[in-house]
Amino acid sequence: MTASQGVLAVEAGEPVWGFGWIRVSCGACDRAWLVLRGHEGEACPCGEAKVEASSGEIPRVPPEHLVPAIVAREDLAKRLKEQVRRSWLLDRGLSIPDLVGRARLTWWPRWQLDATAVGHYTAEVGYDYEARSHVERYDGAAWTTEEKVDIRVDWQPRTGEIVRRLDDVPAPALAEDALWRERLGDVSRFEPVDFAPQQVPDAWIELPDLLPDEVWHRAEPAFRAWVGRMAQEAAGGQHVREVHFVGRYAESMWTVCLRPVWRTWYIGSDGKVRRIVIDGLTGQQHGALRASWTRALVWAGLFGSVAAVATLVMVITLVAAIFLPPLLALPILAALVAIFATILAFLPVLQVWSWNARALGAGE
Amino acid sequence: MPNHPLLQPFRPPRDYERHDSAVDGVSVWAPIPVEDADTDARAGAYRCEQCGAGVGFEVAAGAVACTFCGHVAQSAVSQVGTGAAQEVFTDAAISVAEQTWELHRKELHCESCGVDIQIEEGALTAQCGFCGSGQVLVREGLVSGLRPHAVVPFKVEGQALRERIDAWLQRGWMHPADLRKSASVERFVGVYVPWWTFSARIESTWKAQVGVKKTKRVYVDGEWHTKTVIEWQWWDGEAESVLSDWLVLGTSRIAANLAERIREYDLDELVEYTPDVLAGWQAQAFDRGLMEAWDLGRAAMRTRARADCRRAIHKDKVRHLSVTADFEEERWRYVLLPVHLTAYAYNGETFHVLVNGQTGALAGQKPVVWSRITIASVACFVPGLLLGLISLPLMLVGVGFITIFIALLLLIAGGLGAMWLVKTARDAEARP
Repeated sequence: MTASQGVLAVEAGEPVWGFGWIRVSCGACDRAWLVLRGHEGEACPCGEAKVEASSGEIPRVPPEHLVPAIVAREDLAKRLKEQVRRSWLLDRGLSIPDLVGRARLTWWPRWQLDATAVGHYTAEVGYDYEARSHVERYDGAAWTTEEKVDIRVDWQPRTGEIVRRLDDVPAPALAEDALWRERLGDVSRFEPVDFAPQQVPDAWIELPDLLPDEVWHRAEPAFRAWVGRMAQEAAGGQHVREVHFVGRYAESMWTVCLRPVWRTWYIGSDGKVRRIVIDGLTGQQHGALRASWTRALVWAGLFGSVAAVATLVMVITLVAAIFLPPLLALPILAALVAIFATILAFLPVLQVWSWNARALGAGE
Repeated sequence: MPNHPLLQPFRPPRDYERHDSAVDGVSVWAPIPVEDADTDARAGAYRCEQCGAGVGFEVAAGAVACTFCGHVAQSAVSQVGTGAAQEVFTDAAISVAEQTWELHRKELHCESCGVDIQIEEGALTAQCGFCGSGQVLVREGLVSGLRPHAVVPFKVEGQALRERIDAWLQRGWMHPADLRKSASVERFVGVYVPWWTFSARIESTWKAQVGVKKTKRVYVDGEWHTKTVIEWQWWDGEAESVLSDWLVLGTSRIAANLAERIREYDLDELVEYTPDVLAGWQAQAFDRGLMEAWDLGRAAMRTRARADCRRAIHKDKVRHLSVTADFEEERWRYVLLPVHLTAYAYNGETFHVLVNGQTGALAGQKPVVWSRITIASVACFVPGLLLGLISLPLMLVGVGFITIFIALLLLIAGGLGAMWLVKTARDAEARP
């Protein structure tokens, strides 16, 4: 098997798989996509540049499977609102309608390997058995014996030949695969269906940046574990360990399984593009919902001004109260307002600081 | 049958056989279970293949050798040591172990010369008195009974022990002076004695009140004093005990108290059981069953587990110690260990002697002259009594209190000495 068995090279603008799709890439984020012809020149889901038709490698065959999206565009607003309403100082760019309007359903690839294991195996197969055992209890004066039955494992060596085909062993297709799976969660419980191009009308399929040769070592342990399971089943055991396989994985076929991911972005008050990713299956969200320092400072200034005015009033009325003692209530009232306003002036700053610190901690 | 153009020819290991597979495209090969076929083939009459005389397992040669012409037959005795096969306590294994190995057979047809020979109950081998053939009774015993897993071969020849036994008989003032002259050790009988070995890992949890020394300041009579007090605290913890090859005697036909004294066998010299090892020797089957022996073994092991828990506390003062010992990975095996048996008569009474057939360790019964023990025991009290008597007049002049205290100590020491003498004499007698 070679890398060329799993991928093929296409020219810029060359139709892919006969679906009317072309390969495009983004100069800013370096990602490559398959999009419906005519979408070249549109903004990349990263929000930083436009995609252009490009040449490069694509999977040799169309995707084999796809996990249909559960989170629809209508659900996005609700999910984003839940996040946004937690802070009243978010960036002005964080407008829900804008975020939803920019959101694009993209498809995230994972390699799937089908192959036939041909060779010889050795393994230790474990068979459960019941053994009579005892628990002895000493209470300070005498022993009492309690008989019990333990389930134990009898490990026995087994060897033999194996010619079996295994389909759909997953392997990452993107360098960031592990990172994003950690952030957005495992979706192995969602059943994939057979791929049809109608299920991805605008395409926006992200192209693998890892070639089969680069990820073979990630799929191989799964194959070896599967050989062990086959040996265990064939020998009628309940456990297996120390699996060794000598042979080859023949008739291998690399295909792709797609997972839906919503991507959107906004421009923060610092002028930088901030990206938000929402899993199309779980709705789990990751990205920068930044709070705005500008808004925090405006509010802090407002409350600070009130505090300053109240302090001035307090001083004036205090002087007046020396001559007119019945006015003494006024400086006291002014002092209370000044203290309260000063406390309020700190709150926006603290909130923005803690919100953004949390956002950074979450791996923005 | 897995088939593919890329599939390389498969050569399973020699001692493997093909098993049924539950999965298409996967073949399964497993080790051939160790059968009794080989040992069966060797079982039966043992005669020299060169001169036809009787043969036996020669200690020096480590093989079956002719007692007449010295011809050594090829035999496959493989040393396995403590790696010898062990069993777990499954119902099936326990059921097999409950069937003793030819325990009740009393008469055997000699396969060599055809006569019927009588053997004592429980014996596994016998020497045919007519043709001298070393008959090994395994053929029928293997059908239903448990055969030994391993054997420690004889390493010490019985006849070479005669001088040692003479010296042993002569030794000791508490025995009759004419013991060596009057006692006649006629012959040694080499017998393979059945033992069970047990191994287990014990996970124990314990709880106890532990006395912790604390110093306290107390104010007495206008002064501060430092006082040490014991504060009892509840402690708990865990301990692990790993016990390997714990020996429990498998027969009631030899004196257990003597057998216990020679039980230090080097089990690294265990060889895999084969009838060759027993050829020419007597062997006893077990009459103490596996579970009865395991009860004894477990009782000893749990005591050890409790001691390990006690040690884990690392404090002198401990009370209300309770222990829960959970046995794991229990294993057992049935082994035959070599013992030379002999007896001698003295004053019409028979005394037994056991010699460890591997190490030469000796344990036996010896008559004791109890009048000497009585005199010696009484003599132990004499210093204390004498000093006590001297102290009485000294007390009249006011200096006897110290000597009477020393006399009391001497009396206590004398009592302990007398008890030790009686115990030593009883041990020497080694009455069952």
